[in-house]
Amino acid sequence: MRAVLLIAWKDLRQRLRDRSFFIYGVAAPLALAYVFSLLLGPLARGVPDPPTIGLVDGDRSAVSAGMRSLLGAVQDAGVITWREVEPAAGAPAPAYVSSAATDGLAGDARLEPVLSVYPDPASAIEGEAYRELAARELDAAIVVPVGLLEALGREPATVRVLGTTNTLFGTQLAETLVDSFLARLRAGAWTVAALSERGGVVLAPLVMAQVASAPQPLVLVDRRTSERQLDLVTYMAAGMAVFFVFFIVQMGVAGLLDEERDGTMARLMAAPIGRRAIVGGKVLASVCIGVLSLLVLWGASTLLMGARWGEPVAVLLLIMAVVAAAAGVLMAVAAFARSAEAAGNVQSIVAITLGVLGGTFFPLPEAGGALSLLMRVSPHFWFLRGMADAAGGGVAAALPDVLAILAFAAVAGGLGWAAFGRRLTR
Amino acid sequence: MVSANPASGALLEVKELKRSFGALQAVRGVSFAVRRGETYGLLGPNGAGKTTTISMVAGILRRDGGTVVLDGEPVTTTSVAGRRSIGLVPQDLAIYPDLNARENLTFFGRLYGLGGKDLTRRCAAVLETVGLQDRAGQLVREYSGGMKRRLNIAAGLLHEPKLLILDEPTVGVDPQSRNAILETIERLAGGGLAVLYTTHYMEEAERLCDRIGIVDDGRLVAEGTRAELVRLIGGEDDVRVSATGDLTGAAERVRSVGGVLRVDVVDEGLRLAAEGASGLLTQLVHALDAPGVNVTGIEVREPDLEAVFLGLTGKALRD
Repeated sequence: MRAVLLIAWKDLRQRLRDRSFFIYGVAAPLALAYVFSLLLGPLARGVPDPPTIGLVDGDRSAVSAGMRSLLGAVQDAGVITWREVEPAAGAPAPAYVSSAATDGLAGDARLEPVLSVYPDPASAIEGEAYRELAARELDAAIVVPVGLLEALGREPATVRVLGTTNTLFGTQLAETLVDSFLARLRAGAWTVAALSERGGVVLAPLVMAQVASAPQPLVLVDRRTSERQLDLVTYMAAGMAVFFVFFIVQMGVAGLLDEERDGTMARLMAAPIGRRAIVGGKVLASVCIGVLSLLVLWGASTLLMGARWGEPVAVLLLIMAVVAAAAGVLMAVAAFARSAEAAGNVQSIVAITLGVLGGTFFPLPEAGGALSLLMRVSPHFWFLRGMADAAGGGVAAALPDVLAILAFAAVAGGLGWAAFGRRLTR
Repeated sequence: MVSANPASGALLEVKELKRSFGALQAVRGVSFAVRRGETYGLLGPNGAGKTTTISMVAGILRRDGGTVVLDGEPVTTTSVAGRRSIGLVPQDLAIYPDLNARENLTFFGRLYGLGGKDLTRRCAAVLETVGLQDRAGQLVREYSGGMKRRLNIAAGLLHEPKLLILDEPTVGVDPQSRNAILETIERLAGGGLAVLYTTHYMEEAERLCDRIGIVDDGRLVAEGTRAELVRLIGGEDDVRVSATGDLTGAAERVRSVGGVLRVDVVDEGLRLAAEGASGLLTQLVHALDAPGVNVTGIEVREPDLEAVFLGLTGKALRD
């Protein structure tokens, strides 16, 4: 073990001294990841801020309280932010208005959202909402009309959604929420209708208010781990890091062949140490450099690029595993090469192929078939998938990915270890 | 093999070493021994099998057959004890250019189990031996070729081996550095270190080696001291007489001297082939001392190892 540590320490010192570690392990991946993030700038900014939706509550009833409850629940889920807008008259601004009418709620329970163009002279309480939309302080506004509760079951009423062409996403989201809310009222209308047919005494507004303010049925279920995604900056940073770590590790493993080429291997082999110690020292140095470079990239991309690598323990496990895989596969390639130059060429091809297959440059679609199978041969794939899994599910979610990488490392490393052992005892 | 002087009481005993690379038989049953304090040379042209032989002796290369025993310890690719007593100076520069001399020596010393003050002392000692004590902190990549060669030797000496193996240590070195290296080896040998030295330079073998093994085509074709090897081929001395005047008469008188085999008249004077010419000088001078002959010089050239190699293998050493 002493010899292993001695050789590893010597190699580390050489790599730091010839600056190859800094060039390949830190500077190049950071620069490339940064360029990629610039090229993909709009997407790289990740998930946009949730839209802000205003509620103009002209009714102030138990029914409109149900609307508030719904908005609160959705806000808690991080999908929107909402706030009240004071009902007030004001000058209308160009906008489109989506009106979800409560027509016939007390009768046939039909509900047809109607898209109409403002101005709607019937409404005068949304003046402030228009002003805020024009000032881009709101993405959309929901207008609950005065007397909604009283109108339910007797006459059509209209809940309006105001938006602008610049805030289509927020507006559509608001429409969806209003649709959802009105669907609950429709259910209440069915209840009222059914009770009326059976001759019961029904206080329709009371039932509708209870329906509207009932606990929200909205349940946000966490997505499956396999569906989790990294934001683009993190994906690119991690992808570039794992791509380049194969080249970093390659330098260390190829050091075995460099020693042969430069003649120093003869002196190492003449020394009173086991041949495996030579291989072990080289691999240990490679792993140390690989892990160190990934840690540097982790920290640098977090601080400089805003990447979010996720659960630290899971990330550490993934880093250790993928570096071991890199050392294993590159050692296997080097063991069968005739020279350091030949090994370097083949190792580069292998590293690039595995990187592309693993989606380090761009995410590959899981289309099934041969491509999906090939993707799973790449430790890069499992690393990036593990990162995504860890982002949402922590260590436990990433463990299968870690194990997949370690299996790859064991097979490739075992092959390389055996081949190099035979090479050094020829 | 022709052996003029079998070794006895040897530090290193090599018997019937064999190694093939595919169809090529690189070493075909080489045997020799090196005594304590002796410098033994393996002389042969490039490709003769010298490096393969010493690689097996040093435990670097697996052998197909034969044994290597150093001071009672077998030396193999897997034995550690035997290799501990060997210092190897490979033909290639087995040092790291990105480390300085002291870092190189410290690394190799630790591989041999040295440490602490002992390692510091040994580093200083070998740096002084090869004359690099003032450049110990300099990166090796900044060294001249000769300095690198000297450091290469220092690394082999660091752990005070019983046997130092040098594989063509002066290849590609300028004459001044070469001389410095040879002087270093002479000092080490004078200090009692056993040295196994391979070279294809006849002059180096003659200068350094107590005994020489002639290697050709994977075989040790002869071994012995220089004089013994010369005797093996029955070598004639080449005597050149610089003279003017009656050279034909002088040639007749010289031809009558016992031991003189041939006499030719040449432009510069006479050229003789003789056995033991150094012992005939007085008689030759008397034979040449005659009226009409003006002798300005006599030069005796004994057969060299080039001639020995040619005589034993039918090939020139640098073929």
